[in-house]
Amino acid sequence: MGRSHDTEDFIRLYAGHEGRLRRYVSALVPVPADVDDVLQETAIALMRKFEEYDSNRPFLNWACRFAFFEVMQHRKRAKTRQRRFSDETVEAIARDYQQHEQLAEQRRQALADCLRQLGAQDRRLVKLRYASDETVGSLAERIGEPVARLYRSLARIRRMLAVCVRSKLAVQT
Amino acid sequence: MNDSRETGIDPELAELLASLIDESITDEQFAQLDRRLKEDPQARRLYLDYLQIHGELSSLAVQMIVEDGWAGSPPTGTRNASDGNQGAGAFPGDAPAVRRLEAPATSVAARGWRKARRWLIAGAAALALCVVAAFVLLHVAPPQPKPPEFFATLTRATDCVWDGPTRPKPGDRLAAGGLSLREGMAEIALASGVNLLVEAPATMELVDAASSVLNAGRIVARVPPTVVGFAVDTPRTRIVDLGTEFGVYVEPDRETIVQVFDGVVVVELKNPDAPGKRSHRLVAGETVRIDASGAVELQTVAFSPERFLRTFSTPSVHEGDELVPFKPSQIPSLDVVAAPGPVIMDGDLSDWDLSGGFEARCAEPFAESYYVHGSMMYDKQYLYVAARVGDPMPMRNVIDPNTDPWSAWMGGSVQFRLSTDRTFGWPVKATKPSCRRGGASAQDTSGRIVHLTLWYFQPCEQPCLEIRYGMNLDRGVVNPPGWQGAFRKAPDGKSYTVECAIPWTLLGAGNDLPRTGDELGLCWTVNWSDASGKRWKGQLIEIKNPAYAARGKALTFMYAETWGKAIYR
Repeated sequence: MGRSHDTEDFIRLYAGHEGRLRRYVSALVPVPADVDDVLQETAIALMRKFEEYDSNRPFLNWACRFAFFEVMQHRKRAKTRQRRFSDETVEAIARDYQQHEQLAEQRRQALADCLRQLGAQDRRLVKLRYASDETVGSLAERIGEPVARLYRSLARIRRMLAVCVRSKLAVQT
Repeated sequence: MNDSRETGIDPELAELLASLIDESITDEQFAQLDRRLKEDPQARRLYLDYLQIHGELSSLAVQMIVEDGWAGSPPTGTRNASDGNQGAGAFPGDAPAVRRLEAPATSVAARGWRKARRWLIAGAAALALCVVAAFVLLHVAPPQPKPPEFFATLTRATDCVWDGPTRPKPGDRLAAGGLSLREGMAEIALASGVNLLVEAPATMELVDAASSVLNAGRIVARVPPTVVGFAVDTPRTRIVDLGTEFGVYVEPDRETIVQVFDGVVVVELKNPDAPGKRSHRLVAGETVRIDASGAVELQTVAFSPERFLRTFSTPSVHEGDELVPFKPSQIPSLDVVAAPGPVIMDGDLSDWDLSGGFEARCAEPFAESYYVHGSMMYDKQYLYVAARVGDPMPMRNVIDPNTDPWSAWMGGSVQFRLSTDRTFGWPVKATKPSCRRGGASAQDTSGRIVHLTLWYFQPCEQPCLEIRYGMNLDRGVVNPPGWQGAFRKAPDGKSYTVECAIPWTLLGAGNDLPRTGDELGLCWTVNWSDASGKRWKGQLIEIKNPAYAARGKALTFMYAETWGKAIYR
C-alpha cells in the first residue's frame, strides 16, 4: 500500500480537492452553513485517518466516503432541522454523484465558453452575484433593482447556462 | 445559446433549483423538490448540473472580472518599483498583466469555510467597507487620475522603527508612497478590506487600495473574498490574488518567494523573455521561488509556515473564530532549582520541587481556561521542565515530527528559549542575523542559544521535542536520543501536564553546566491551537526582559535581548 502520512501531503491533497469535496457535500446538504460544518468535521476525520490513505487510489473517492459519513452524522445530530432531504434522496444523489462527476471537467470548460456568450448585462449580473458573498436581497437593494426581477433574471441566466452546457456536452459525447 | 427540447430542462424543476440556490425556496417548494429528486434520475442530473454551475460560477466570475477589467475599468496600473537599478524591460510596469490569468479551475476552495469564517468575524465595519469597495470597483470607478488621498491606515505596530520620510504611528492614515520598516512588525489596512502584515526589514510602496509594491522584505496579504484582484508587485513578479491569504518574500538579491496559505493566487513573471509559462496558479500549501538570476524560473520549494509571520501577538489578533489569548508579560525571571532526587517522567509532578516556578494567565476573557504553571529544575545530567497548561482542547497536535517539525508549534505546544553560556551574560545580545545590520555575531549563531518545542503528537500518542540552535533557527534535531518526556491529560479534559528531562549535552552545555548563581537568558511561550490540532489560535509569552515586556516586544524568536532570566539556585 502506498502510504503517506505527511502533513504537507495532506494539506496539498486537501487543498487541491476541497472544491470538489465541497460540491459533493453541498449536493447532499442543501443548507450552506451546514456544508461548512460537515466539511470541517470531514477535514478533521481525514487528517486523523490520513495514515490509512492509500496514495495509489484517488483521494477524492477516499475523502467522499468520509464526507458521506459525516453528512449522515450531521443529519443525526440535527434531527429537528427543517431543510433537509429525505434519506432516500440523499442516498440517491450520493449514488449518482460519481457518475455525474466524470464529466465535471468538460462541463466546467463548457461553462466557461457559455459565459462568454452571455450579453453584457447578464455578465454583469453574474459578476455581481458571484464575485461577492452577498445575498440576492442585499444585492438587489444595492443595485436598485426589484428583488423579484433579480431572482427571475438569475434563474433565466442559470437556465440558459445549463442548456448551453448540456448542448456542448451533447456535441462532444 | 438556444433552448432545445433535447436538453430536457424542465422549467418547473429549473425554477425550484434556482430558488434553492438563491435561498428563496419555500418549505412547500422544498418538499416538492425532495420528491422530484427521490423519484426521478433526470431530476437528479439537472440538480447536479445546477449545483456544479453554481459552484463554478464563483470562481469563473472572478476570472470574468479579471478579463473584463472590472467591468471596463481595470484596477489602476502599478508603478515601477523605484530603487533605480533595474534595467529597462525588467518592469513592464503598467502592462495589464492580469489579462493572462489562467482559469482558476475548481477553485471553489478559494472560498473555503476557513476563510469565510475568518472574514465573517472581521466585523461589520470591515465588511461594509469591502462591500462598498467592491461596489466602487464594479460600478463607479471611472479610470481617471485620483487626487492624493488616504486609502490605508496603519492599524497596529509592534516595535516599529521606520526609515525615510514616512514614519507612521498606529491609527495614522496613509496615502500612496514609500514605506521602509527597519525593525518590528506593522499591520496596514487598505480601504478595500485587504490587510497587509509587514515584517521588518522591508521596503514597500503603497500604490492604491488594489495593489502594493514590495521591493524587499516580507509581507503577508489577507484578501477578503469580496476584493479579488488585489495585486502585489515585486521586482520580478506580479502576484494577483483571487480572495486568499499569501506571503511574499523579496530577498536582498531580489529572489522572490511566494507562498499561499489559503485560497488561490496567480503569479505572473515580469520578464517577457522568461522561458516556460509566464503565469502560474498557486493554491493553498504551495510555494514558489523565482530565481535571482535573469533566467526567471519557478521552482517549487518546500512550504514552510514559519517563513512568514501571519499574526500579531497583541490582544486584538483574530485567528479562527476567537480572539487570540494573550497577555502582556509580567514575570521577569524564573528560579531553576536543584532536583530533589530522581525524577520519573510520567506526567505526575509529585516528585518535583515546584518552588521556583511561575504562573501566568491569558488576559480576560481567557484567564480561566488559558494558563500555564511552569517550573524548571536541574542536576548534573539534565535540565528538567514541567508545565501544567490550561487548554480546553489539550494534546490534539496532529503535526508530524517526522515531516513537519518546524510547524509543530502551531498545533499546540510549550516552547522555551534559553542561553546556556554564562559568558553571554544577561540580557543576551543575540539577534536573528537577518534582523541585524551588519554581519551576524558569534552569539547569533551559537549552539548554546537553544530553542525547544514540546508537543504531543496525537495520531501516534507520542511526546515530541524539537531543538533548534542559534538565532538563525536553521540547525536542529527532532526527538533526539537521550531526552525523555511525558504528557498527561487532566481527568476533566481541560488541561494537560508535560514534563521532560533534556541532557545538557543537547543544550550545548555538556562540559560546562550552569552553576548556582548563574543568571542566563530564558523565555517561555505556550501555544494553543484550535480543535483541528494544527491551526494556531494564540499564545502566552512569559519570562521576559521587563524593558521589552512593557513595550510589548513579542518577537522573542528574533531578539534574545527580549528574554527574561533563568536564575540557577
